[in-house]
Amino acid sequence: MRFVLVVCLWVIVIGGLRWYYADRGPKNIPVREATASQVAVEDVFRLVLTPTFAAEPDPFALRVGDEAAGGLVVRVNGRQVAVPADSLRQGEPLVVEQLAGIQPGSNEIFVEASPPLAASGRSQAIRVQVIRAGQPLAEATFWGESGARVVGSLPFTLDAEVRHGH
Amino acid sequence: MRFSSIFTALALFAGVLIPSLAAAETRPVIVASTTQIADFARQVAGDRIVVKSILAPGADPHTYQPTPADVAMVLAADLCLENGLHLEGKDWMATLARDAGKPLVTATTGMQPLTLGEGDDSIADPHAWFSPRNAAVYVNNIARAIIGRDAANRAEYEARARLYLQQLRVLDAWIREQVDRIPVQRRILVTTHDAFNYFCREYRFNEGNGFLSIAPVGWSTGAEVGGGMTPERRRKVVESIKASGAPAIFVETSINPKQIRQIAEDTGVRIGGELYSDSMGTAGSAGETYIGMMRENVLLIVSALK
Repeated sequence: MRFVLVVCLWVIVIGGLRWYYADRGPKNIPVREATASQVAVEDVFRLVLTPTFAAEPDPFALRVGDEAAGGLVVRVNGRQVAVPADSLRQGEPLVVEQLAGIQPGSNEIFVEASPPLAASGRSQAIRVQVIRAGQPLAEATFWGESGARVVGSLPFTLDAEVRHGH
Repeated sequence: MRFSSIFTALALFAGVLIPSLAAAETRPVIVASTTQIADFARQVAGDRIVVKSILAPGADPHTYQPTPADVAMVLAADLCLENGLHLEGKDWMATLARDAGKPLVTATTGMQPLTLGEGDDSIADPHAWFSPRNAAVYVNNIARAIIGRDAANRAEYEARARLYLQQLRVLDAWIREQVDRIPVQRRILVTTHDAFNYFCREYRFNEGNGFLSIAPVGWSTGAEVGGGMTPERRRKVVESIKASGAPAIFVETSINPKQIRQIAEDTGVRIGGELYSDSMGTAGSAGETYIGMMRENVLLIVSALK
């Protein structure tokens, strides 16, 4: 009698779980219709920069013309992207929406940021992420040893059939 | 056989050496007053420009007397560079450039100098290179001047200057890290003359003296206002050393060490070593570049005071 009761309970629990997952899957879980490289909508890229420091103007910056002594330089495939240095705050992700200049094939994003000299006694870092259609496409963390500017290049490749939204 | 060997050697000399000398002569020439400024200019110019310094390593710019060879050097220059703020005693570099009709750039232009003394006797301290931040101003002024005369190679000069400025930034952080090893109470820097005010202000030496140099000789070793050694200055230095308990005092490479050695004897304090001050070290020495001289100075100071 006890054995039959255990078997019945087992059937009820397992059957219930199976029914729950069978019912839940198709209705509630968003399903990616394709891989990231085959997205059938126009691509929009975002750049997310998350530093361990607040960038500040660099007293050691080159000042030979009308260039700003900015604490932050972002270049996409060699083209400078206007990102104000004072928007880079410690621990806060800075999002550059609709990142222009990304092409099918090989790409490279260059980031150079100037940590405060007052905090030169410790290493600093900045995390760089390229987001495409809500999915991370490429990411890296660049480190600067004590006193140095944080500099790095993030290379990534994009499939040639991608269409661009800008 | 012997004749043919000599002839071959002469032909090689004519074919290899003479054309290379001729090529060197076609390059523009920059003449700088001091070794530090010449080093900054070399870091920006690379091999595109010949950079010469009037002062030799170990020479004193305050008391320097230009020679006929200096006049000839300036006459052959395309651009002259000076420190300014009267570092060059009686403004000898400005005089040389003016007399030769050559363009002159003052490397400290745009800087906020430290003011020494008060009222009519106040003077702007010319030893600004002792702060790497100020060294960056020198480099930017020199880079601007070079680009202004050779805009075709702008990208190259900018790339070199940018790399060197990064090195100066790392040097500054490194000095802070090194100086941090000296307990605050022992950060007492006594030198022969008042050359280290910017260094003391930047890295917080000599708190009891308003973060300025302690030295028996004023800002200049010459006879300018506020320069030279007076009995009053010497007495104050001896009192400062006794009151502060300075563990060591320092002589300078460009100045006669006699006075500071006498003070060391009077106060019973040891000599911590020889610091590069108004000029860099000789070729082949660790202090033959600006970064090298700053590095060696800091290592010596930290070793003597920590």
